[in-house]
Amino acid sequence: MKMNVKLNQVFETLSKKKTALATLAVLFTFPLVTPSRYYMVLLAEVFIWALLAMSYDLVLGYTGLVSFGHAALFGIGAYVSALLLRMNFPFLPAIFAAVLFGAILGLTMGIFSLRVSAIYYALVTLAFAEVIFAIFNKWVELSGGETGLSVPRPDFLRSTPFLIFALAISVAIISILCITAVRDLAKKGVHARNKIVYSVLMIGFLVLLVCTGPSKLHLISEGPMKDRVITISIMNIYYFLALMPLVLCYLVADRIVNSPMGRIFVAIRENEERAKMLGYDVFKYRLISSTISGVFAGLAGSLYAPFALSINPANVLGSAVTINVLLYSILGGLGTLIGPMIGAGIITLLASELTRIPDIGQYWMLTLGIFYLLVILFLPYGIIVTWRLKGTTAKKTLKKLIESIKKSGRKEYAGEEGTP
Amino acid sequence: MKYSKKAILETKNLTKKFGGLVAVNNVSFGVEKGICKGLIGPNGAGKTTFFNLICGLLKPTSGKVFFKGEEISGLPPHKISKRGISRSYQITNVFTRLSVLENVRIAVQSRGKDNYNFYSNSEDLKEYKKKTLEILETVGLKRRAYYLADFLPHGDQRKLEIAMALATEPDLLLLDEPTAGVSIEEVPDVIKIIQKIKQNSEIAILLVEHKIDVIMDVCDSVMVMHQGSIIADDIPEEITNNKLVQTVYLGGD
Repeated sequence: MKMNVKLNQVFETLSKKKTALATLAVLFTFPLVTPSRYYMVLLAEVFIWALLAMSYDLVLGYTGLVSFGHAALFGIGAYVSALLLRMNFPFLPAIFAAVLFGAILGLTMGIFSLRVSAIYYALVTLAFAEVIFAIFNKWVELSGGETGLSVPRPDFLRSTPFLIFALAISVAIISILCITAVRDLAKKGVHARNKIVYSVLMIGFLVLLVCTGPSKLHLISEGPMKDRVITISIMNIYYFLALMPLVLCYLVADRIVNSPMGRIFVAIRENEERAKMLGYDVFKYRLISSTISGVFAGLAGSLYAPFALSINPANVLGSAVTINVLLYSILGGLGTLIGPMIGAGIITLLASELTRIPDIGQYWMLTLGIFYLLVILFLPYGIIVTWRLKGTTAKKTLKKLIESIKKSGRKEYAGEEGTP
Repeated sequence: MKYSKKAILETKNLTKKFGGLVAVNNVSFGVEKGICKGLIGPNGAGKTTFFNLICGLLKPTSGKVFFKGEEISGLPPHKISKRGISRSYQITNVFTRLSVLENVRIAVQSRGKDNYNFYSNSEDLKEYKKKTLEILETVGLKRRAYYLADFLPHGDQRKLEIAMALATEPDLLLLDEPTAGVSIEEVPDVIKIIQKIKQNSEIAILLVEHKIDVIMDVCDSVMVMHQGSIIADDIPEEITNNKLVQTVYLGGD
């Protein structure tokens, strides 16, 4: 009985988070229904950048620190995991080591740079990252110098158990989604039209899944096609390998930003002096957020290395990484966890799609630049934040417009009255 | 004089110089528990500097500040705050993009044990919310709990300032012109709030104020500061009759 009540509560909460659940279901079923390997690889990359963007937003959007040295955290994660994988370390310990290094570097960077604030903080972190970049760039024995290092595919990725585990999670999420949806439909007070729309969507989704899913599973279990099977499952696995940590980290980060400590971060961002006067040790809290950010960035880096198969200081430690992440965050919307992820998704996908357009594809950077400008001009708080604000402002704008029309009408009328 | 009780806050020869300017000059005074002490003086007398010295935003050039018998001069602001000194600001200084509730809750939370809690949802911690609503009730802002602080009318922002200062459960409350910019109709509200605070606790209050009726209504004694020095320290009635004080305020020499 008690169990039942608890289960009920769980589904109640879930039904409030339909968008999140539906997004998850789509993401987890995508590799089962898509014929395209290209998009799976691309999306795996998106997930890694999204994780990095989220880690950046924890310091920039929540604690209000503009760090220009975020690439260092990502790069150290990538290099630690790459070096360990080259020494035939198993993948999971390599990830843990990368995360640990990320955290330590985040902490160290914090200790040195948080003594100063605002623009000086940005400069000190930039200097920090550049020093690390220079070390890796010149220390050829360690990092492979400008040519970089090739990273072996971890054996773990070839294992079928992992893929089955990932598939099991997909199935679980889809079932939860379906149960929640069915429960919602059974509720009283749902509009009949909505019921039909939901049902059709759900059935369509399930049909698609049933039609296309098994063909993929079939490939995995097929004997003679073994070589092909393995490449496909590896592609699948990269996708899941990037997606699962992203979801997990999002849940953790969401927990953190809504916790009492997260509220302190926001308070510090909003008004440092007042936070101090309330008894909060601003330095300590910033250090904590910098360390947490290091953990997530290190993780993103450690996932990137075996994904890219080859890393060099410029593409994991260079300031371009920081700039990109900064762009993702600003375009997506600062101070929301989901915004920077969406920013990362849009920009990565857009950049990749633009290059594929014949003739104008070579001008993709120009097109992307125009896109940035448009977003900054018309969505000044970033895509997500502006969208969230829009609900109220659109109504207000409409109201104002109607009122002004009414007023001007009245004026004209009054004018006519006034003339003799 | 009723300085027989031991003072909760004491300053000894407190001096602050900004280059050649002596902002606070050799001030020694004390406030006892349960006393509301007024601090008045013309603009530029050094009142806010004096506050900043007590709460640690500025370091004294010389002299010492004692709180509950321990020296606190030289400690960073957050440590001084933890010891039980809280202040409000002359120019409203709140978390403008957060709700009124959140503003006060973050202050209430600072005295709790959850400052390093990163796993529970802060909405689920009911005791902070309950206390926050109590404080909002005291200052009369409960019905505006979900407003953004930025959207509050000025008078309410001033009340929010007091609420936040109060929320840290201080033993000494420093109020820097709580009625600055408040309309005449709302001044009695602020006076009531201060009187409520005095009734409900053994708190010591140091109040900077320009409006003489506020001083007369809530203060047990008043100090007058002029060019960084204390020139008078007496009960409010005596202060209004003090010749020196009158000259200072009227701009004589």
